[in-house]
Amino acid sequence: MIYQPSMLAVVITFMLSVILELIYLPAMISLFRPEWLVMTVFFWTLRSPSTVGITVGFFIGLLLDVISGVYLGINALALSIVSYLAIGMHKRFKLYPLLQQSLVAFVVVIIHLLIVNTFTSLLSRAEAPSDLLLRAMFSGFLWPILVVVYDRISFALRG
Amino acid sequence: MGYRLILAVLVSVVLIVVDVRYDQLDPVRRGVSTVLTPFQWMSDVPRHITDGIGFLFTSRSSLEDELDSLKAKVLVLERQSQKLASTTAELNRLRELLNASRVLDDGVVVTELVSVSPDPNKHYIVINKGRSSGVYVGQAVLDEYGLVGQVIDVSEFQSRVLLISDDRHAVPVQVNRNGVRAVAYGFGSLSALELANVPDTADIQEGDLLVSSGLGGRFPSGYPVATVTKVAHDPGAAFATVKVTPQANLNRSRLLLLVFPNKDDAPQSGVEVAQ
Repeated sequence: MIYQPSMLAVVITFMLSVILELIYLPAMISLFRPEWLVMTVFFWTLRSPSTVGITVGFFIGLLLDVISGVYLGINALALSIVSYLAIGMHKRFKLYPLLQQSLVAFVVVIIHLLIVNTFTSLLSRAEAPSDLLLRAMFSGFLWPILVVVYDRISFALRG
Repeated sequence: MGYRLILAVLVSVVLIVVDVRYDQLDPVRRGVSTVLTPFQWMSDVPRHITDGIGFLFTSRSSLEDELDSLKAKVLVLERQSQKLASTTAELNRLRELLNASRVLDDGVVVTELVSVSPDPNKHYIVINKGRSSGVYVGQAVLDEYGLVGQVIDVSEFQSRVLLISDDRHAVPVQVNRNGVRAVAYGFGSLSALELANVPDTADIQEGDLLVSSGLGGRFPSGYPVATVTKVAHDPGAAFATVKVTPQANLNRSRLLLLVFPNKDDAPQSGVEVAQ
């Protein structure tokens, strides 16, 4: 995609992923709940590092901190790093085949989850959740679908 | 780009430290939660729809049955509350004899569950009453069977309630039978809590009812919290292991009660004060 994404598309997809992040799922399915906001930040930083970068990642991270009820700053830190990684690889990423893109998305999501998990287990006596790998795998699995849907939205709303 | 990442990381670490140590960031959290309120409503739409569809297909006879059983339940409760009024009066007379302070009746406000934590490792729920209804941080939340948790975050129209089963939560309790005190910790299971540091010789038996002791100054005293399900004595360990089951339906109740320890503090709109 060569066109500049419109702000409206960025805002809409972020709002959509906030809602998806908040939706309650039955216990069985919620083991697999993907990291919508992380994937959305990763997607937009790859598509357009000039509009969505480390600053946006930081503030979306603060939002995610409030949503998931952890100490303010943990997700902000992790998402800033996610945006940084995305900026570094955004030129190469376009050349990857879809399967490899999914694999990279999986690795990025698990980096995010590991950073968040390290801080939360340092700061509270919570046990390490065992579902990190499942969630990252499912996020990577959903990556192609997310790319198609977000590109459709951003194409429909192009300036 | 590198310096911007370093800046973001530094700001995040400062935020984390400030949030762990002090409560200066509470207004920020409250503001963001208030902005998130419409999103919370929207994320609840699918569940409302499935509930609505279920209601459409409920047969008339099953509704009538439900109504009958509810009427019967109200009758039984009415009878019990009649007795309660005279018992409370008698208790207060006796306490006056002992020069003790009167037992004040708590005011309660009915609230509805809006959403639950999407993360199964974190036990909190969101309720549809916030600062505009006088809700405050630390307030106790009950359902019809017992203590559910306490308010930890208040935004304008919603608040977040930490359940007693979360692994960050502890509640001071006492055995209803003999007054033995203990602290009930959650450990991330909805159906069990654990009593910490119980001496091997403490008189706690299986089946004992634990009520809140009010000692922490946070929860009002006398509300049922849990029943003891298992007491294990290990000769090698310093303390007994006591497993208890929460009385409240932590994962089923839709309607909850917010407790206002002083009846006059309870807001007037939508208040149902226990007799």
